Amino acid sequence: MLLEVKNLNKTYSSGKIGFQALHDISLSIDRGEFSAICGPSGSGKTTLLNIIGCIDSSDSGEILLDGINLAGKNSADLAKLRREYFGFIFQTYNLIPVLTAYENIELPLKLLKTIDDAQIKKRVMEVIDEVGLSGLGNRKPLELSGGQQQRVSIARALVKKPKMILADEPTANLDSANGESILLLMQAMNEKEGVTFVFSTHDQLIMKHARRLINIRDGRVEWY
Amino acid sequence: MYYLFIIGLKNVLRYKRRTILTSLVLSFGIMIFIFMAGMLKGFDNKSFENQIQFETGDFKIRSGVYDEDSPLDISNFLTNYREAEKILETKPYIKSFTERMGFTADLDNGKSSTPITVIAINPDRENSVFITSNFIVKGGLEKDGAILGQSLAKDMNVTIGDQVYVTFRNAQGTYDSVELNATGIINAPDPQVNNSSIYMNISDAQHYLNTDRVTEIVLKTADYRDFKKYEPDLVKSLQGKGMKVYDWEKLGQDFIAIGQAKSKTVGFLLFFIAIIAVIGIINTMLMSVFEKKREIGTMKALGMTDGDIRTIFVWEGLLIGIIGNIVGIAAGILLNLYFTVYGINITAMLGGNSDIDVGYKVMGVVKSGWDMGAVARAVLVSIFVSVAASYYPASKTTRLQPAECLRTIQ
Repeated sequence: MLLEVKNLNKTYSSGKIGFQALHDISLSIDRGEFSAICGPSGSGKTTLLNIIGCIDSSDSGEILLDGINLAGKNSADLAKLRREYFGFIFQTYNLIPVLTAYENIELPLKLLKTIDDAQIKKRVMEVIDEVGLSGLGNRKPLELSGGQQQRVSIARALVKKPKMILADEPTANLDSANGESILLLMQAMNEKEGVTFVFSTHDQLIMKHARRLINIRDGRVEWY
Repeated sequence: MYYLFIIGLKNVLRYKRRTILTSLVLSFGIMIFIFMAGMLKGFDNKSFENQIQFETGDFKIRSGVYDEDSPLDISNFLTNYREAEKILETKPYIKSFTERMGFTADLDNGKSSTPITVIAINPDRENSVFITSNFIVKGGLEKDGAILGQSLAKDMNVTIGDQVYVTFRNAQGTYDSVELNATGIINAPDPQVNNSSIYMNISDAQHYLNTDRVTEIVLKTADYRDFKKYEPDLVKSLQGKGMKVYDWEKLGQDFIAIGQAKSKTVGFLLFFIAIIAVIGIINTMLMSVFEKKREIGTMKALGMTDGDIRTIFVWEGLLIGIIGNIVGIAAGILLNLYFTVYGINITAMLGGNSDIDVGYKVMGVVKSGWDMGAVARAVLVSIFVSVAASYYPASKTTRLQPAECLRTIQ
């Protein structure tokens, strides 16, 4: 088991008003899964994904990542976990606009500080080819189409061969043709590299391709 | 670390207009600072030069018990000055010397009187030590005559040929008054000379004072800046002769103290530049942090530590500081260079009124100098301030959860 979530709760507060986004969520993710957390807007999909990915905190509950309990980890420890375990794909791509596609993709490897420049270059070029961006490495994000930007985002997530890729509505900003193409690319990566993918989505296409669906509604797991 | 610098650099280049504006504010401050420090240095240099060339020479030799408050007291006269002069003639570092008598008096034009300084000079030797004669604009020094500072003559409504009365306390402590003809006018770039001095022949002064002595011997050396090198030998040579050696620095110590107080102005200016830099850079960096909230969230999600992100923003601030410094130093050097060549006409700036005391012994055109120490201080302070000012906005990013940053709508 790669990840185990137990009795997770999360409430957002705005002044005196509180909104409980997650109620007592428990679930587990195995290595190599291609799963989708689905549910309507506001159901808590993104919140759950963010907490799993250590980019948000829960109010209570327990998360075990590869057997490591995340409770009490400080900011630097969490950054290290994100660096080593996770790749993220966002609905709005979230590429660094001042960096080229190549530089965006190489950034996670630079942060790892374990690979020399020659190896970084080799790996980045390899991933650029895999996601079909050959010849576009020198372009800035704004010089690329939405589909191409999402491919850069996928390449950035894949380049360090993470244990788990968390993709938040990865096809929501793409037309159906681009959306399907991106999805097939991620599926191929899952099959070829064995990378675990967890999506947050309400896209029927992703739900059709996912091998497991985790349905949540009003912050509660309905079924999986 | 290099990639953090590259991201910082690209961010600086991303908002070119903002970077240029923030840097320009800093540049302007540095430019003004370099110019002001240079001008103050120029004022100092010119003041020392005037003090030495009109008032003190490089050294003065006076009686060992000289009392400045009663310059004509009998004990203030050098009894054996000819003997001292023979010793001075053997010193290779002494280029020339002359005798002088200086004392305070009142000048009366028959209608009103004003306090003055009387400088009794030896006309044969005066030019070898001082440059006074170069500035005599009318007439000259004659027997029983006096050369008046131009402003003094104007204020007292005295022209050449007029008679004036000089009242002073003589060697016996009683008041004497002598009648002198105004035979010359001097317009020197030293306000002390112009506003309140008269020159007379030392032989006339000796006659009025009924003495054959002088109150001081003034020396010109090979280089006044080397006075500390010459002084021990001079003191040793005159030991046991009842004389005391005064160097130009000692003679101008009151003025030097004023100059040092004025140099604090430069410190204040540096402080204001630091404030400008802090406000400008904090403002720019806060905007930068606010605008890049989503990017910060992304970078955190990719695994960047808070320290990495802070480093990127500190690089941004430092780069803005470096750009501001380079432009500011270049502009400051160009501006100051112009004024080292052409100077500022201080008298013209004061509407031609040379009576206004600007606190320096300067008049007319004053050229700027180079205060490289002040330039170095400005560079260090502005670089330090650039880093310190970007540290606060950069630290704000560390308090944010990555998801909170990513939720920001931009």
